[in-house]
Amino acid sequence: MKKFLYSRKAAPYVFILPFVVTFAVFWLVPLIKSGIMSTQKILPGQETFIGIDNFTRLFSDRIFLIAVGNSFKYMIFTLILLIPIPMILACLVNSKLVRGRFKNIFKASLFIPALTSVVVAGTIFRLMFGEMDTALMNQFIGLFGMEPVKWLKGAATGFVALLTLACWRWWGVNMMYFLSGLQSIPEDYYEAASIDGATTWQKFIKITVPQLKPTFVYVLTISIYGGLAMFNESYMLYQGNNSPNNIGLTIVGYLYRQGIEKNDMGYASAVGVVLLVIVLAINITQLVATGTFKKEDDK
Amino acid sequence: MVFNSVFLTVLQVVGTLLISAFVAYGFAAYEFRFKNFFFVIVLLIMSVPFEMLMLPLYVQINDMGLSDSYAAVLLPFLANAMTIFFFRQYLVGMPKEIIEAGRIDGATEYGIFFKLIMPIMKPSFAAMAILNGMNSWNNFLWPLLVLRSSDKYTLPIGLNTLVTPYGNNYDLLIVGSFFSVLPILVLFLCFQKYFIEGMTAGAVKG
Repeated sequence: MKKFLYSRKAAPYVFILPFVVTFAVFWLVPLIKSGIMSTQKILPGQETFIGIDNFTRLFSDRIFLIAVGNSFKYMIFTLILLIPIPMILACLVNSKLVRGRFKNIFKASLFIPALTSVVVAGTIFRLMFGEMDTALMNQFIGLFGMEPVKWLKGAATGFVALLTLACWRWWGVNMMYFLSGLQSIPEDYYEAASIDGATTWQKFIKITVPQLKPTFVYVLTISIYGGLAMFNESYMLYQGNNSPNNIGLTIVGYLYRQGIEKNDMGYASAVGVVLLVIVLAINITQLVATGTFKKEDDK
Repeated sequence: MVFNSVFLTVLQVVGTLLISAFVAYGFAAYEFRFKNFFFVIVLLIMSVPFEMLMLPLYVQINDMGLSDSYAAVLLPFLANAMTIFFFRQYLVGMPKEIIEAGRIDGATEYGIFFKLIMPIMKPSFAAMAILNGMNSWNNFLWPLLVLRSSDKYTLPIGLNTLVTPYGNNYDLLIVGSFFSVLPILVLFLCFQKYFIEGMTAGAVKG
């Protein structure tokens, strides 16, 4: 037996065993359970099969649709804000414009927000976007002669606060991804281009952008996922899961509300299944469109 | 609370790095049946939102009798798909001669991994230590669900209890916040150099 375990045939299976076990116990079983639960009405100690009732109820649930709308809006805006800007920042940091020591300070200072807990960040941002005239953001817009705003009470302004928080936290992380992508581009490419007389702009478009594509796809994938599954930020900004008129409610927030706060596990599972389908559909479409799957096959 | 957080984070980082590296080596070094099948699962898991599985997983943990225990906080993340993927990308680029040399010298398959491969993975370990450490240290929602007794609370949950609808305890909150950022900041500043190197080496090549 021992000899078998040490043989070259068995070794790979032993190596991936921890993953397979974790996957089976903590992913596959809950996933199947979630699928089953989404077709049930669950009361303590009693489960009744109700078919697709949870889903039909879901699609006529006005609050759920608000949550879906919020999550999508958040995802789209984070894609617009959290991909191009960090990419440009990374190019700047990587270029010769920024010198040695400043480079490190710049990198560290952009990355530090990501290290802070969402609890801390949310609390600080809630204070910054407070209602009083003395809150930081109201003082700031006061400089331009604007009236104080009740930031978190309005749908649009609350959204601005949420996006500011997202930018502050994730610019640094995404910049790091792009930076690591940039540094794996061979210097020769740029030298060859210089010899051929390419301008900086041409180099950027013809070399940097195509070479960054894998990084870009990766960041896009995790941003779609992160945007649609956002919950913590809104939970902290609004001191809990209840925002005025549900302006900060997300899909996961709704799942949490139904499953934990109202203890309606069956209905909450249906929310989870819908979320899964949406995320997988978007990401698979995106990965096929950018040709990432094809590349996996080539290897 | 600080102790709980440090304890959990250290355990999580060490455990996740060891186990994920172990699995990643299996994917990178061998050809075997079902390899592609399992690797596709790794990729799929990376794009399944954890929040979606949260409730059934919570029920599952309760059924297993693990509720309100640290095992419940740690176990689901030990073989972390992101980390496995990252290590695998890093290892695919390593020269296969190392393995061959190890075999000729009579090392077992596992001996090769622990004695020869792990040392050359150092830069990628640093990068993943920061990312995993950061996630574990700041993990909020899952511990909030699983942990019930207040003596087991981690720092983010503890801080959150200071935030109440009836007025917040800002003095404590700010001090707590400062101490919650400090350790991870030190960790980051120490490993910063390796962090980018490691990310570049393994990172996102495909």
